[in-house]
Order: sequence, then C-alpha cells, then structure tokens
Amino acid sequence: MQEIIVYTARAIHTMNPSFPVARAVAVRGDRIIEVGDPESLRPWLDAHPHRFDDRFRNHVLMPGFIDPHLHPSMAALLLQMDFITAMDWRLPWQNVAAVRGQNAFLDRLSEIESALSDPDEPLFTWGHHPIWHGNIERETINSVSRSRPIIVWHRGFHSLFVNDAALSWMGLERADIERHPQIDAETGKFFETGLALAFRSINPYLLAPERFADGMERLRQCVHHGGHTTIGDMAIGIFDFEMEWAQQLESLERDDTPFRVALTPFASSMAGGDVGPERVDEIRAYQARNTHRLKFANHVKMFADGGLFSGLSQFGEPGRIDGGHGEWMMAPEIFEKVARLFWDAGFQIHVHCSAELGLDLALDTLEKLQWERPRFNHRFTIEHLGLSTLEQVRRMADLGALASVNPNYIFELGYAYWQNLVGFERASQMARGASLIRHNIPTTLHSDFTMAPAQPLNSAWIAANRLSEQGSVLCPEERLTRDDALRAITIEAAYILGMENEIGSIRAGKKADFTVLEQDPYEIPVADLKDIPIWGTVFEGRIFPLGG
Amino acid sequence: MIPLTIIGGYLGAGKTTLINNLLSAPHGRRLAVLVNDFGAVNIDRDLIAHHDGDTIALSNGCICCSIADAFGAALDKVIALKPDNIVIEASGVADPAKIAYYGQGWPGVRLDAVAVMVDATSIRRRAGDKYVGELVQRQLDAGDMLLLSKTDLISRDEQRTLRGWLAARTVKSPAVDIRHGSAPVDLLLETGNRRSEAAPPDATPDHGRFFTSVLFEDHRPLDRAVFIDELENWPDAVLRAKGFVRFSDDANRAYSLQRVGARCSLEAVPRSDDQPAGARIVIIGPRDRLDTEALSESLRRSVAVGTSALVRR
Ligand SMILES: [Zn+2]
Repeated sequence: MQEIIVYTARAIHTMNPSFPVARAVAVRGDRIIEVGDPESLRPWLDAHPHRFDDRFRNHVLMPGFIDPHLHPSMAALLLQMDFITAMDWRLPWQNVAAVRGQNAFLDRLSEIESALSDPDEPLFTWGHHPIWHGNIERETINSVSRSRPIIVWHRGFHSLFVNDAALSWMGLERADIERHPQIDAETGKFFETGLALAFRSINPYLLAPERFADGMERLRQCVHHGGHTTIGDMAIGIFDFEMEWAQQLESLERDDTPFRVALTPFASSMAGGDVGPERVDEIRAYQARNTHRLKFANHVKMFADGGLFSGLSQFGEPGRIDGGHGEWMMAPEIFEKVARLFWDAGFQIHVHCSAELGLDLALDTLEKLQWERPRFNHRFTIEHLGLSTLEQVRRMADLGALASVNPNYIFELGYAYWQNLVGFERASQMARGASLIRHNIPTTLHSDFTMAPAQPLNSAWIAANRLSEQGSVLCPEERLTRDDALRAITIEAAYILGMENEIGSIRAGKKADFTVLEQDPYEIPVADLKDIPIWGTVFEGRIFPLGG
Repeated sequence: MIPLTIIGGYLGAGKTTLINNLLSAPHGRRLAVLVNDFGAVNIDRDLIAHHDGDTIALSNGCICCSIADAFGAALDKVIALKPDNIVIEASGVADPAKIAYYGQGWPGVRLDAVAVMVDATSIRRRAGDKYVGELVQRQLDAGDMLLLSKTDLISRDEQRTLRGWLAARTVKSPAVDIRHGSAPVDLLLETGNRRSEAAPPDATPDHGRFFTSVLFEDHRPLDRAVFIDELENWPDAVLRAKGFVRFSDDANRAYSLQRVGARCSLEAVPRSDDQPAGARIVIIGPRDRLDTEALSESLRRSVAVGTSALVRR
C-alpha cells in the first residue's frame, strides 16, 4: 500500500463547519485519510507507513476550488485573442495591464501588430469598451495597419469593429456591408445580426483544429491558474458537440491536467427544439464515454430567456426603461415538455434564467412538475439568477430549487442596468446573495467564463463586496458573508454538481484536492479576497504549482 | 440574389403544414427550406425531410453572445444549393423581423416576403399570455401578410370579432383566410416575371375562394410619375404585385416590379425576350378585400398618354 503523506500547513480551512480548521491533512494516493493536527492523526500514522511533508508550512489550504458553470469551448476561442482591457487581467502567460484612453488603446494595438511576424495573419483583440477607450472605428484601425486584417471585439461581446483589410479578409465588398441594416459601413461596426456576417469568417478560422487546440491549451492553463480542481462545462456543444468532446479528450484528459470537468449537455439543443424520450437515452449514453477527468452524469442544461449580456432577458413588471423586450430561448410549451421528460427520468435540470420573467417560467414549470410527480433532492438549479424578486427567492426555497449565481453581473453590468435598463432598485439587487442564504438555498458562484474571469476568488470577492466596475456598492444587504462566499466556490459548488461526496471540502474519504494560497482568506480584509496569490493546487494527491 | 421568404407565427399556427404544401405544389421551382423549430409535432420533421428542401435546425437569439450563431452558416449552406427561393420557417418564439435582417443583409439573398401565420382559435388568448403575449404581438407586427388558419374551427361571430381585433391592432397588412394550410405559391414566393408565370396558375378551390388576382397588360409604356404615385396609394389589400413595366421617358429599358405588403422595389433589368413592350403586372390579394376594378383603373391611369405609337411593334 502507498505510504501516507502528511501535509502540514499554516491553516487548513476544511469548509466542513463541524471541523472547520486544521493544521495537517493525511493523504494516501488520491484520497484524504484524515484531517486534524499531527497529534490527532496518530492512530492512522502509527498503523501505516507515512512521512511528513512541510512544504506548505507557510501556506493556507482550501478545498480545491470549483467553478460549476463555465464554457471551455467559448474560452478556447476568446483566449486566442489579444486582450486590451480597461481592467487588469491576469492570464497565465501574461499579466495584461489595464489600458485606458483611446491613444493608449491604439498604442497597444500597434505594439501587438508590429510584434506579429506574418504580415497577413489576422489580429483579433478583445476588451474594447467605448467608456474607457473611446471610439475605435474603421479609419482609426486603418491607421494602425492598412494591410493586416484587424478585428476589435467589444468587451461585452455585442459588437465589433474592423479595418478595411479585415473586410477583404472576410471576403466582403463594401456593397455587402452597406446594404446590411445592422452593419455600419462607415465605421466598420458589426452589431446584432450583423455580427453573424463577421463570425462567418472568424469562427472557421478560430475553430480550425490547431488553433482551437491552442485555445483549449490556454483554457487549461487558465483553469489551473484560477486555483480550480473541478469545473463544470455547463453546455457542451455550443459549436459542435463531437468536435468539442474530441478536443477536450485530447487537450484535457492528460496526465498533467490538474482538474476534472463535469460535462452537462443541452437537454435538446442550442436550437431549443422539441425532443422525445430517445434524447434521454442519448444523454444517458454519454456516460459510457466518461474518462478519469471528463464526466457526464444525469444533468441537463436548459434555457429560459436570453442572456443579460446580450440584453435579451425576459423582464418582469414593469419591464425596461427603454421599453425593449427580450427573447425566449425555447417556447414555453416546449420548455415545459422537455423539462418534464428529464424530470420524470430523474435528471438534475439546470436552467439558464436571466431576468424575472425567465425565472417565473422556470419556477412555474418546477411547481407543475412537483405537483405531477413529486421528487425529493431533485436539485433543480437556477443558473445565473440575474434579476429576481425576493418573492421568487422564497418560492425557490419552497420548491427546493438551488442557485448558481453569476456575481459578475453586479460588477460589470450593474451600472449599465441601473442607468439604462431597469433603474437602481432592481439593478442593485442583481445576482442575489444573502437572501438566498437566509432562505437556506444552496448557493454557488460561477464565472460563466468567458463572461467573467475564471477566478473563483474573484467571484467570491464580488459576491462579498458587491462593487460595480464604476465603484458603487450595489445592495450591501445582499452581500455574502466571507464564509458563504468561500463555501460557494467549494462545498456548495460540489453540491450543485452532485459531487459533494467526493469533493468540495477537506474531510476523510474525499479526493485530495486542495488549493494552496499564500494568504489566509479568513484573515485578510474581504476587500482583498480577489488578490490572494495562489501558489498552486493539489489534484487527487498530486502537487501542481503554478508555472511548475 | 435569391429571394427569401420567412414564414413566422407562434407554435401550432400551421407553419409546417404551409411549408409542406409549398414543397409539394407543382410550381416547378427549387426551394430550399430552413427550419428553425420543429414545433410540438415531431412528424413534421419527417414530412419536410421527405421533400427536396434542406432542413437545418436554427437557434433563437443568443445565450451569452452571438459567436455561436448558426443562422449564417445555415444560410450559406442553402445558398450553395442555388435554389430558386429560400423559405425559412421561423421558430415559434422567433421575431420574424429579426430574421428579416438576414434577408436584408446576408450576401446572396434578398428579403422577399414575411408571412405570419395566425391561429384563429388561439391568437387572442396568446396575445394576452404572460409569457408570450408581447412576442405574439410583435410577430403580428412583423408580417407583410397575415395568414389566418383554422378559421373553420370558430363561429362566424368569433371570426368577425377576431377580424375586428386584428384590424384594430395591425397596421401593415390585412389578415387573409387560408384553409388546410395552403396559400397560393405566387403569394408566398417571388416566382419570376416570365410570361408563363405571369398569370397565377393556381386554381385550387380553396385558393380561389380566398384569393383573387388581377392581370394587367398593356403594350404601351407607363408614365413614371403617375405610376409611382398610384403605386404608393394602392390599398393594403395588395398582398403582392409583380411584373415588368417600361416608362415613357426611357422606353428601351424594362423595370422589374416586386411589391410585397408595403415593401416595394422597382429595378431596371437587362433585356430579355419575355419582357412586354409596355407593362405586365399581376396583383394578388384577398378575394373579399381586393378591389380588382379599382386597381385596373389605377393602372390604366398610369399609361402614358399619346405614347402608344412609339413602342408598337
Ligand atoms: Zn453559460
């Protein structure tokens, strides 16, 4: 039998409230044997060969972080682009320093441009935001390069600007874009349905096998650097199910990958169409593909309303300031029918809900299903929880729904929703926290990466502070406590993925997954949570330092 | 550019039946069909699949961002088939106006018509529904023409109330009855201006009962200003008008006229054998609403005075 290794640390936060803090954890192979202090571990150590390892004596151990909802395939696309952002971004291969002001943006763009050796290689940049960078339009980009295709993608993904060289790279004539009602030929701006015309050329380029593989490798590094040991791909098949599966198998199912992926497929498809019982069998059959790190289970993803970032959420009364309207991703009748199919088959259903009316649809459906065929421990999960009412929170509790919240809405969209869409009262209560805990609703946090950085400490930081990008505090009453915020990226996240018996806390019998921190998240000010340096991780008993 | 017809409307309004009838009608045109949603009835998928049309499932809206939008790729795929017309069956929860942007902007296609199917038995209830009421009303607003299905399932009184309700809230177009999910091909699709296609060949009893058409032919060119003025004042009962015209100020050149609902185009076209010496226009509309005599009179007024000798062959 393998020898037991005892790691001692400055502190071990187990996230097990009945045994919250420890100084030593005994690991054999990929499992935790016991947690405690060197003295309390004696019975195990006396009986089995062991050794002490004090490399973490100045570090703090947490259970391996879990982000239950992100999108590896989208990330693999985005991470191929050069970031020029108004905020600092820590990427494993680069610390992207904040760039503000139009001139600074263009200087940075020129710098990236001149560093490229192949004169024809298209340049993609992501992060442009008019508030911080002013207008970056066709002629402005032409001044950076007339010959290299340059595509400047908006921070919020809503629009992009291109130069003339990019137009010809896309095979578009001036006349093509002039007739399109959602492309501005003069400024080179593509928006809404106009974006599809740009992605017609961009997607095949970025999804080409070697580039996509490269992007997936970057995603792999990002996930490690965020301190994760488990992530959820909360909708595999955004572009192409088999292509994405094959790429994950190749890029992530590797001996040196320090995390596992819980894969959740679409209940029907991106198209949100109707499906029959054969779809249940099909999804069950995915489990036969499971490997050591990549795992399907009885989980499906469904969609109520459109996304908050795309402005297509379905709002409840009194609607939007501008009178605008959202979209349904699935017809309500079909939503109910498909949900029933998977409910009756015993699945855990994850529903993307952005605003109040979308949440109502999910909860009305859940109530109907509970009436028809009551289930305990169904773990019906509301994903995102953008805008909601307190009465809806109570109803979630009544019906046994769980919450997987994207707190980045507060940081990134809070101000814009306040000013332009719904006003302060509703915007400030986006992405709730404390009220969910008060109603005993299991609550986790996610990044929805690429929507927000894949950094659980950043998610916890937003949820515990509720600061907007502009610096206002939005609804301090909904702040999560430090402990709840940290539970949300560990044990609660494990619960929402149905993996709480294996991961999410440090206790005897669980996988030896740890995130190793340079500072104690229970000692530093809550305002500094996001800045805690991560030393590395331990995944199933194996040590993976960052950059190591 | 390939003309694109969008068939919209909420679930159960009869979009798929309409498209199946289109596919099987003997119009001799190659259609490509994009299906956005298979509705509640799975068998529709099989019916469509057995015809020549191509089917691709399309997603509504976007989840987080537009990068995974499959719509454009699907359009390119059918454009490559070089069909005569493309028909898109919009999802029951899609706003046809949004899909129309593709018709207006996607290379290789041109927006022809947006037909919105209306389920006479449920439209009023749906228009007040908490979840889809606003959407259903937007769908009505988006139609160049509204096709009313299942009117045989409601009483005459209910039909009258429904028509009143629709008339009060839609501005673009009158609602026309269709039965058994079938409407004239020439109404839904731009079918070209060749002489053989000028007269609606469609004489099925149902179509004859609900639709009528006017064929106007004159060997003389029209007066441009008068004609354009008349065109702008045609009643909204003109669901579609198409044909060739020549104008007295430029009689060597033929213009192709395409009008669907309120949208109209008049474009100079290259010379071909089947163009008339003067004007040849077909107008389609609902039998109970289209005043064929008034329209013929409007066209007669447009004929340029004293120009007959110029172009007589
Ligand atoms: Zn997501």
